[in-house]
Order: sequence, then C-alpha cells, then structure tokens
Amino acid sequence: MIQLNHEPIDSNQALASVQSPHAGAVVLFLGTTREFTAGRQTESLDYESYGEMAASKLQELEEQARQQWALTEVTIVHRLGHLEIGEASVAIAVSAPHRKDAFTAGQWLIDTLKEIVPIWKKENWADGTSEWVHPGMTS
Amino acid sequence: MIINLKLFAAARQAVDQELLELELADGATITDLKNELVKQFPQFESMREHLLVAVDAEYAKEDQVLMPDQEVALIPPVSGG
Repeated sequence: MIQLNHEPIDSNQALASVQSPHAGAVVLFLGTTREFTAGRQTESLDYESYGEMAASKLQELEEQARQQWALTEVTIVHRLGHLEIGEASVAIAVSAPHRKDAFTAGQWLIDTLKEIVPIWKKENWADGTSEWVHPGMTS
Repeated sequence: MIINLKLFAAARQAVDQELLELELADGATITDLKNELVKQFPQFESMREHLLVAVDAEYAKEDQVLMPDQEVALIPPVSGG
C-alpha cells in the first residue's frame, strides 16, 4: 500500500496494515524530523513532491521489493507539507514469513526511496533562514 | 514545439514559478532542453549538472527526444525520507 498525504502518520495503522497470519515478522521504519544536523538547529521542515511520479515510483519500489524478497505485505507512507520537529515524515512497514526478508527489504526500501523518489524537503532553520535540501548540490 | 516544464523545490525557487514555457525545435532532446533553460535562465547554470528530467513521470536520458504534449519535469536531487 502506498500513501502520500498531508495528515500525520499513524504508525499503529501502518503496522496494522501489514499484519497477517502468514507473517512471522513485522518491521516498521519511521523517519522522523531531526532537530540538529551537524550542529545546526532546525525549527521545522516542509516536504513537497512531484505527486504523480512519486506515487508511481513508490509503487515500483513495492513491486521490486516483492520480486527480490519473500514478503507478505508492504506499506509505504510519506508525509507532505509542514512538519514540526520529532514528527514522522515517512513510515515503511514490511511483513514477511521470516525476519531476514522483512529487515532487508525494509532497509532497501528506505535507502532506494531516498535515492529516486521525487520528494524534497526544506529545512527551516532556527536562525530564520530556510533552504531546500538537494544532496550533492551546493547552491 | 512548446514544452511546459514543471519545477520543484530549489528549481522552482530559482525562478519563483511552478511552470516554465520553453520553445524547442522539433526533435529536441533533454540536453537541448537544458541548454535552452540555462540560456534563458542563467540561474540554472550552477545546478545544471545535478538536474534530471522526467518525461511522463519517468526519468529520461540526455539523448531522449521530446515530443509535444508530454509531461516534462525538472528533478533536482531528491531529499525525501
């Protein structure tokens, strides 16, 4: 299941969505907004996406994970819009008959999401400035 | 042909617009699109090498030929998660 939405992420709901009598393991990853990055303080964050492409890329990630590992259910939820510190920006829940597949697929999903899915975050720094985060790009 | 280029994040901020209309020759490629973009908006020069382009919601290669009516978007390095 893929979701991109502006409402706070309900981690219990993400977990419940992957529970199954066929699963012997459930792994939940939550990405949360960090207050301190390399000593710099963040006040809040804003996320935006290229919605249609982000949804299709997330769907592809789920399909690719299911091809690579024996999984029961996969749920990926990404939050958009304005987030305060400590809130979850992303939830990835994976269930599988065996834990190794659930752990490995969960790690691959978040790593690959961060590389290819067109979603961007803007850091609103505590000093009042803000900037879009574009890894590898200096300006 | 006219391409309406969708912009996001710092690319949108660079021109304070969500959409740029670019006129390109028929048969123009992604590279031609980037050349035209930088020519008209020099503020993209410094980020050019980091920019990807999506055509109809799929990442496109530099030599892909653009067609009228495709949805074209500029994708700066992503930072979701």
